[in-house]
Amino acid sequence: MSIEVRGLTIRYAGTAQPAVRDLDLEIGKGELTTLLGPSGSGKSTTLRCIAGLERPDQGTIRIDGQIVCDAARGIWIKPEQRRLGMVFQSYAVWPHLSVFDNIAFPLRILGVERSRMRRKVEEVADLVGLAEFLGRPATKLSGGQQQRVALARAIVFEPRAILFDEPLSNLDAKLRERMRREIRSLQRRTGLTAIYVTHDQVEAFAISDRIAVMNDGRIQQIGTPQEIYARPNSAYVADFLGAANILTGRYTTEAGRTKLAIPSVGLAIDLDLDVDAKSTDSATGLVALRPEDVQVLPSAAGTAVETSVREVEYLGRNLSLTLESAGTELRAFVSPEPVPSIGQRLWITASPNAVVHLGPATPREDRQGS
Amino acid sequence: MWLISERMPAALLAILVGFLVLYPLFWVVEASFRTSILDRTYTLVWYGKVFVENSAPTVELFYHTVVLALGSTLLAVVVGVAAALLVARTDMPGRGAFTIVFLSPFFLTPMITAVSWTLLASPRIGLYNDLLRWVLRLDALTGPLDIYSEGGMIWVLGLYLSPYVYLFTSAALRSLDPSLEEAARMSGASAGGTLFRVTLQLVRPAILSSALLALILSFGQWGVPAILGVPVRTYVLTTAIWSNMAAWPTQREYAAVLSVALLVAAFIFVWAQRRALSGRSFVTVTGRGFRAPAVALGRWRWPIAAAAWSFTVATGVMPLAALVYASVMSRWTTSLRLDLLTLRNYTGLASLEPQAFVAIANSLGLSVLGATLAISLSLFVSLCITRERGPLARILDYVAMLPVSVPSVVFAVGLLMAYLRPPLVLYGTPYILILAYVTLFIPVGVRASTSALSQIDPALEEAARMSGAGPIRRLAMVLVPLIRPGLVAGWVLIYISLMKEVSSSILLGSPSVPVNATVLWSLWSLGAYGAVASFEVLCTVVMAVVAAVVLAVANRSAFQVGSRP
Ligand SMILES: Nc1ncnc2c1ncn2[C@@H]1O[C@H](COP(=O)(O)OP(=O)(O)OP(=O)(O)O)[C@@H](O)[C@H]1O
Ligand SMILES: [Mg+2]
Repeated sequence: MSIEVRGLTIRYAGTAQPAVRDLDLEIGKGELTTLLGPSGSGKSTTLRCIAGLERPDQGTIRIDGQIVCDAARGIWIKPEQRRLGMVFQSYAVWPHLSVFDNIAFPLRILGVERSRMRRKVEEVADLVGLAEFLGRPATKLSGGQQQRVALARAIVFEPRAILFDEPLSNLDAKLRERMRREIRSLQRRTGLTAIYVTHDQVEAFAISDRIAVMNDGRIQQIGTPQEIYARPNSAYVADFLGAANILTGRYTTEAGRTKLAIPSVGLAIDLDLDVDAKSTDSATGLVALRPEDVQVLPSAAGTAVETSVREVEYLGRNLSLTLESAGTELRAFVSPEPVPSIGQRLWITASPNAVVHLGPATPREDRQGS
Repeated sequence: MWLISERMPAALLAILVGFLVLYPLFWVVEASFRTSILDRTYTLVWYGKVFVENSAPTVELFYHTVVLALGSTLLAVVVGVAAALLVARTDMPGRGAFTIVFLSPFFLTPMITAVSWTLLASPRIGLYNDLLRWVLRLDALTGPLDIYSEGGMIWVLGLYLSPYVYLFTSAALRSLDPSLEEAARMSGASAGGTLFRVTLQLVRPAILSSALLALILSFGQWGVPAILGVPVRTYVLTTAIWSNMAAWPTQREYAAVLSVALLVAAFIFVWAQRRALSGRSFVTVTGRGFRAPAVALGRWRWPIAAAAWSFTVATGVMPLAALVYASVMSRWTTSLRLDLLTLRNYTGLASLEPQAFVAIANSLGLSVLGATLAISLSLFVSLCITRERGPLARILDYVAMLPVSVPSVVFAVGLLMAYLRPPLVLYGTPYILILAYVTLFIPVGVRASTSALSQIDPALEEAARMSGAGPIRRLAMVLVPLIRPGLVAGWVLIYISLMKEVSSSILLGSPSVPVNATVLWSLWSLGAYGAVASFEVLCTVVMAVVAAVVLAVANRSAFQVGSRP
């Protein structure tokens, strides 16, 4: 393990709730792990604890086996001694220094000899595509270029890991995509262990080896992007990843076949596969149905349920429909043609594979899923 | 709390600053209760003497003090608010130039402004009196104006304080969300109605707060009542304290009791000012740089401009002009007499007052050193205040702001009492002046460096931290270069204030360490108008030249923080 966090808890002075509570996290060497979650879920706080910029109340943090923080034993290594690179949301490029001096700063601190420093800075500047800007004052750069300076500065001294705190959120959408790919390829080439904080699930899916979805100071689920998408472990995760329809389902077994009924919309689905024991045992459980997995038919067929169209939003690639059945609203994505009219009747079904089983409903998840 | 990772430095700073401020004050209070300097027993007899046995002169003293403070504050508010409104909210022509002329007296010490006014409004030799007697066809040889009076002091001090009110009020006016005024106009209010019913109401906290500041400053003001009150035996608390301390033999117990009274008054006003500021924050402030709707003055535009300009020329420019004129005349005259032109006031200065040039050099050196020490100490205080969380930061902030509520004269009395005795005998050395200068100007320095620091994104320092830089290198390589413009501005402000300082220098300067204030006073006591004028012109030129050079050098390669393309 390259980075190992155990039982991390921190409460800011003057706040009632801890910002991060009893959090465990393990990050393998050369892995890019994303902390994903809504605003205020404690992503930055976790990252800053690892960086050493916040001092936790409880927990231990190890980097490459070295304990950098152990609250119980009073061990705390200062951030300047942790050898971690960090890229800030605001870039934090020093306006009084040139691009070269910004990038060279960590090497100056290490006392690297001049010619080696120059070589190293040029090499890294090349890597991030800043080679011809080295002599410029840092303030005479665009936002994207400043972010590259920050990136170069973070990797130039060969840190043990690199930390990103929403590095792309100040850039425009196009540049964001490009920088995201560059960061990923740079991280792969250098083999650096990385932690990446974002609230954008598309960015997280695109860039990560593993994603940790955070909720209220805890990690709700951690896994590869595929795992998280296919098997969210809670209504919270399912909802955060795709604005899914979260519904209560009832499982029944008839003649060896498991059936899922969703009474609120009147859907009944034959499940080919065996669902987890935990779901079937309790007979009721939450299920998520992604908008893109709702099949919309123009006329009645089989077990399809009749609905009426409440709202139609044009999203370019598809249409987002809000459908109502028996007082419950559902979202469905359909092809942009033809455009249904408000009040028109449509029929919906769902394939058994598309249903995400989230396990028994707890009041807590109910609230957050809504 | 990054620069300083433990609490210790903040605590040490709080103790150091607390000691600098409170130790001298302790000795003032002690002296007021002490039987005599030779007798270490404590008594209320001095309070009894001042407030009971001898109550008639005391009552008169307090009466003059209060009348001067209230009168000059009222005048400052009227003039300052009117000027701010004219500049910020009307289409009066020449607003930019008016601002510069209006603020220029600010760069002189009020003691000198008072001297200048004696040239204009002395009963016998005043230029304005001459003019008035001619215009009104009066036969008398004196009057009708008499600057040596309570009214004269109110006039000079009120005018001197009006820029403070102006600056507070116009800053508030500029940061006011224009849509609030636009909303009033859309609701049917006239331009004038909006001004009085909305604009002025919204900037009332700023006016109130600057009025309280003016009140604090006028209570602590020594220069104006010394020049205009002492000759006619009208004393206020500051001049009474000073004359008791400067008298021979020293009436230190009287000085101490009066100092305690002044201190209590100042604390009350500072407390009131903080209350006025807190709670009523400017919720209307926005970052939008739109110009607020100006009131069109219409056919009054030019008459109002003429009135405003005549006022500011008569009260701001004329005293300065008179001073410069007096400095090149062999004797003061209210008419234009080219035959009296001379440079003797300059060339003969050294023979009239052998210490004149030593004093200028001393003041320059002490001001440069004092400003440097004050801003350095302030930088560390600000670092602790902005980075430390919790009560220690608030305590440090409070302690660093304490000198605001300590009148300079009182502080000087405290220093004399504290450092006239072993273990540290500092009277007669430059150190006692440095102590006064640094301590009294910590609040100015802390305000300047705190506001500079708070404009810096914390990530800029954190990035240096993550790059491996320890506290000293973060300070030297990142923080100080980033906030340099703010530090330089703070330094220049303190330096100029110290070059003008008279209230504490007059007591702390000594024959062995003469400074501007002591020489000015001795020349004034000689009645040497021309020498006073030439000395002051020299002081002002030296002050301005050094300030300009420092600004030019320090900001030559200054960059714009935060100017991201
Ligand atoms: N310096 C601070 N003092 C007090 N509370 C703080 C501080 N920093 C963060 N918090 C609180 O801690 C919680 C977690 O904040 P954090 O910045 O870690 O969230 P985040 O997931 O990074 O959110 P965002 O996406 O908005 O950056 C929030 O409730 C926040 O208000
Ligand atoms: Mg954050």
